[in-house]
Order: sequence, then structure tokens, then C-alpha cells
Amino acid sequence: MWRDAEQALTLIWLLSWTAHGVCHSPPGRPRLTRCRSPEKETFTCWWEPGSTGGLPTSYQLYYRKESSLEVFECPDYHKAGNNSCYFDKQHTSIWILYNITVVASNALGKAYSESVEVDVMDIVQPHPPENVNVTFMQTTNSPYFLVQWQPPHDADTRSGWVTIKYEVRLKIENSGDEEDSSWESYSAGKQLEFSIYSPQPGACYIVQVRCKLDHGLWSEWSPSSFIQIPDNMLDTQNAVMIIAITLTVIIFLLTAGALTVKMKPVKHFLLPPVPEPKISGLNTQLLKSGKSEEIFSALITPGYPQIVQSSDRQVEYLVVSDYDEEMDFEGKAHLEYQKGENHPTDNTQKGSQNSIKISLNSSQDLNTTLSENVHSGAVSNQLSVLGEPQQLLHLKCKGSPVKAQDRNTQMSSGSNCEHVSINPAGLTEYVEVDEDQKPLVREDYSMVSDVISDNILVLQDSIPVQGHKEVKCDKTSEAEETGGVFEPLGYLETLTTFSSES
Amino acid sequence: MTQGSRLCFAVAVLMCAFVSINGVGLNDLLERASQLSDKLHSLSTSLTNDLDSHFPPVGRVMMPRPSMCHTSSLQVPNDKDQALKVPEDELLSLARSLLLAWSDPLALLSSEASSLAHPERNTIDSKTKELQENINSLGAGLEHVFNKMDSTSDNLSSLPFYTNSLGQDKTSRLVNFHFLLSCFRRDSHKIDSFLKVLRCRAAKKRPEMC
Repeated sequence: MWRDAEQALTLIWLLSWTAHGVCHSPPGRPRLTRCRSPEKETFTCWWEPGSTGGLPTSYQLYYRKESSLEVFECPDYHKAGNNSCYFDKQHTSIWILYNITVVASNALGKAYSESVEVDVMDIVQPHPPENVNVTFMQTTNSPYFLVQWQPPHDADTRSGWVTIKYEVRLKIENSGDEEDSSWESYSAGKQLEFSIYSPQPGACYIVQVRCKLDHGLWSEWSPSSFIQIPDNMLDTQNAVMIIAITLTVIIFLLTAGALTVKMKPVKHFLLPPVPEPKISGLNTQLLKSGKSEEIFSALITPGYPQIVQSSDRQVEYLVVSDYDEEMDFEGKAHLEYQKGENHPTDNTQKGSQNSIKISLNSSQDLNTTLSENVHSGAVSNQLSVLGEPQQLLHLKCKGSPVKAQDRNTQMSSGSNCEHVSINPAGLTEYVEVDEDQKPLVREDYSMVSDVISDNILVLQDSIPVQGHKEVKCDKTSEAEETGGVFEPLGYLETLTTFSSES
Repeated sequence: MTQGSRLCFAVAVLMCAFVSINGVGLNDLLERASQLSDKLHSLSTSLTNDLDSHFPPVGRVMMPRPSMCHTSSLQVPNDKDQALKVPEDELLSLARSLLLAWSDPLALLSSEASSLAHPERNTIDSKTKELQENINSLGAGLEHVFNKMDSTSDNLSSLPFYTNSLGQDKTSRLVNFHFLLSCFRRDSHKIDSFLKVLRCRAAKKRPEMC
């Protein structure tokens, strides 16, 4: 019995002792967590220890530089705190790979961490900006608040070795609210201050700043800065707004009222009416009433040829003239018919004249050329026959011969010659034909067969179509008979001219 | 000469003088060059990230050492104190040498990018082309800076690139592509740092340039 108890006790004691002894083991593997360079000049690496194995464990960091086999140990274990290694300027090289290993060792053994390859250019992360302060600036029209800061003390921003960039963020603090408002971030470039315009009055803002060097990692956010926006901004801003809006509304109402009252003149001013085409004399009202005669009577202008009774004594002059020098070939007679008033004295002046030039040649062609001069006042009827000197032109008026005259004299016939027959007799003289003009037609346009010009209407006669003009002229003084053969005259059209009243 | 033509002549002479003396300022040239080099490095970083997203773990083991980059023979300053002691024209020639050394390799990368065995192949291809363009613009810009800086010697180091193929099988092609890209990423960071030091030094009276 005693033996059993002793054995049990020894066993228990042994067990407890053994249990205590199992905790001692070689250390577990440490792990390099991160390496950082705050200014691209130095860097620090931190590790995480593994299990200690129950024994005091020491850690060493060894590194090897790229393309060199020499192994170095960490230059400073303490500067950066526990489980860290700080590489100062002399020991830091950029664009070179560091192969870093941490060794944990205790009495029972060593443990090597996994090797990590580090290039300083990839691990640059600055400290956050310092001395961030926010002030509210109340200017009259645009209040804003100004955020100011300093670069982290260890960053060298003067030599160009690093180029720093800042970022500001802010949000409104909602005390007691469940949902948080989100941050607004603004990039601030290289500057050391930033203005936030139009802040919400009465709100409390939280502001933070962070920075970055070139392509590196962003720093941590700076500690929060708070600013309270005062409330009284409301009055000054809103008062101005209210006054402006009221004035605008009043002006608008006045304009609208003025427009509605004076619609038409304004409309005419802005959009002038387009002029419509008008025919002078045509009255659209008459058109609507439907009285066609009145319309057309209004249309007839004084200038339009009318068949009107003329009370003036119209004298028809039959001018027979001698134009042999103008004649180019034989047998051609130039008949000129002029109609004018009976003024023997001023027959040289060609008053109102309607002259018809009729050229005759041997081939019986008849060229009738009409030339007329219409002048106001004097009206003369002259029939001048220009032709071969040997031809005797006989002028007949209604069967009775008309006195032939010289070129420059006029002859008047007593009868009212409407039809004049012309027989070329080789002589050209102006023969005055006096004619009392009787209106053949009183505004009866059905008789008109042709309109020659503005003032000449050709009427169709009841007299047989045959009616040809024969002009015969008895030359008294100059009988130049060259003895040429005169071909019979071709038919001439009956011409009647009407004087124009003017 | 008449009054008008005299005035024109005077103005023309003044303008010529001004342009020949100043032209585009050195500061502006360096600012522009720094922006380009910044862009260059960002592009290379994003390309590396795209590649890493689907990189076979086997490849990482096979990766050649960075000391085998074809530009590793070039002696460059390795910390700030050394860099700030380097004279400006030497800094410029270092940057230009590095830039010149990468025109051929980038052409190779550009031609191989479209046939990479990688899911992000198209993005990689377009970014590689963009990289090539940027390198050319930056090279031209640095030429101008060099002419502006009026240095006596043009001591560009020759860093030849002899490889003309990335490999035979898919994995080795991918691995070599990744390796070349990592070499380039480092060199682009060097170029960027040197140009930014130069920029700050040229703008002595304007600290906001640094």
C-alpha cells in the first residue's frame, strides 16, 4: 500500500515535471510583416515573432544586397521599437534589392523566417502632414473655411528627390445620427493650404489631410480637425436673395401687364406686317361685290388706247417726198404716211405724228415700216411717199384725188379720208391729207384686227377686203420720169390710224 | 525705309533675339519631361500589376535575377546624397542613356504582347504600345533639354540589348516578359527621379517646382 502511494506520487510528480518541460521548444518561425521608407532615404522593417517555445528568444535580422553574397546584420534594432530593424542613410540604397531574413533563436534552436526581397522604391510611405488647422473666414459674399498644414518633418521637399502631393477630406459630423455622411475628398497638389467654399451654416465639419511621395503609398490620415460653422450667415445671404427675387417678380409682372394692354402696337413693332401686292386701280372690295364693269373701268388707265371721239379737226397730211438719193434699187417706193394736225405753217415740225413708211420695190414686196412720233398736242396725218422719181404716185382719197404736194409742203384734202389709196407714180412728195376724223367705232373693240403699237389699232372694215391703197400724185413742178417700168402695186392693207389724245 | 517697314524690322529683330535666347524655357521643358517620365513609371507599374494578377506561381521561381537586366552595368547614384552630388549634365546623360537602352526591348515586348498566354493580354498589349509612344516623346523632349543645357560633352552610354526573342514555350515567354518589365519599371523610376532632381535644380528661385 505504501509502495502504491509512493509510486502514484512519483508518477504524478514526474508527469507534472514532464509537462513543464514540453513547453520548451525551439522558436517558431518569425514573419516579416512590412518594410517602410518614409522619405526615400531610410527604411524600417517590422516582423512578427512566432511562438517563443517557452524560452527566451532573441531575434536577428540579416540581409543581403542584390548581386553580393555578403551578409549583414541589422544596424539598429531599437530605434523603431520592438521587433523592428531601422536602416539609416548609410545603410540604405535605392534601386537595389535587399534580401532580408529574420532569425529567431533560443536555447533549443533557431527558426528562420521566409526571405523577403525589398526595393526601397516600392516601400515609400510618408508620415501624415503635421499641424493641420482649420479657420473659418467670413467674407461678405462668399464665406469659406481654410485648411492649412505642414509637410511631415522628415520629408525633404526642397531638393527634388521626392515630390509630395496632398489630399484633403472632410465630412459633416452628425451627432446622434445613425447613418454617417460620407467623406468628400479633394486633391490639393503641392500646396500647403486649401479653401472650402460655401460651407453649410450651422454644421460641424471634420477635416483630415494625407500625403504621398511620387508613386509611393498614401500616408495615414492626419488626426481630425474640427470646425463649427456659425449660423448667422443665413440672414445676410438670404436677405439679399429675397430682395433680388422680389424685384425680379415685380418687374416681370409689370412687363406682362404692359404687354397685355398694348398688345397690338407692340406686336406691330416687333413683327411689322408684310405689305401685300396691290394692283393700282383694282379695288379688291369691288371684286368682292361682283360688279365687273366697274372693276374693269377702274383698270383702264388713261394711257390705254381708247376709241374716243376727237373733236379736233384732224388733218391728214399725205406727204409725198423725193428720196431718190436714198433709193438703192429700182422700183422701190418708200411710202411715208404721217398723220398730223393741219398746221401748214409748222409742218416742218413734226408734231404728233404717226408716220407709216411703206417701201415698195419691183418685186412687189411690200415693206411696211411704221414709224411714229407721238407728241402731245399737234396731231398730223401725213402720208409721204418715197419712191422712184419716175413713178408717179397718185393719191386718192375716197376716190377723189388728193392734192399732192411737195416734200415740204402740205396739202389738205377736203374730205375726210379714212381710206387712202396709193399708187406709186415715181414721185415723192408730201401730200397733205385733211381728214375729219370720225370715230369709226365707239368703244367697240370687236372691230380691232390688229394692234400695231401703243396708239395704233387696225380695224377691219365693212369695205371689201380688196381695199388697197393707191396713191397717185400729180407732180407739178418736178416731173422726173426716168421711164422705168413700174410694176403694179401690191396690195396694201387698209390702215387707219387714230390719233391719240393726250 | 519707310516708318512702317522700319517698325516691322525692329519688332522682328526683337522677337528673333527673344526667341533665340529663351524660346521655350528650360524650366518648362523639364517640367514637361518630368510629367512624361511620371506617366511612364505609372504605366509600367500598372502593367506589372496586370501581369501579376494571373501569374503562374511556378514562374516566380524561374524568374531571372534583376542583376541580369541589360542596363545593370550603368553606374547610377543609389541614394539621395550621391544623387544630389551628380552634376546636371551627367544626370541628364544618365537619363538619356537609360531611355535609349529601352527602345529596342520595348519594341520586342510590344510585338510579343499580343501573343502572351495571359487573360489580360489585350490590356497588356495596348499599355505596351502606349509605353512605346511615351518613350519616344520623352526621348525627343530630352534631346531638346540637352540642346538647351548647352553641355560640352554628349557622353551617352551604350547599353545594347541582344535578345530578340522571349522564349519558345508559353511559360518561359511569360516569365521573360515579366522579367523585362520589372527591369523597365526600375529604370523608369530612375529616369523619373533624375529628371525631378534636375527640374528642381533648374528652378532655383521657384521652390514650388520641386
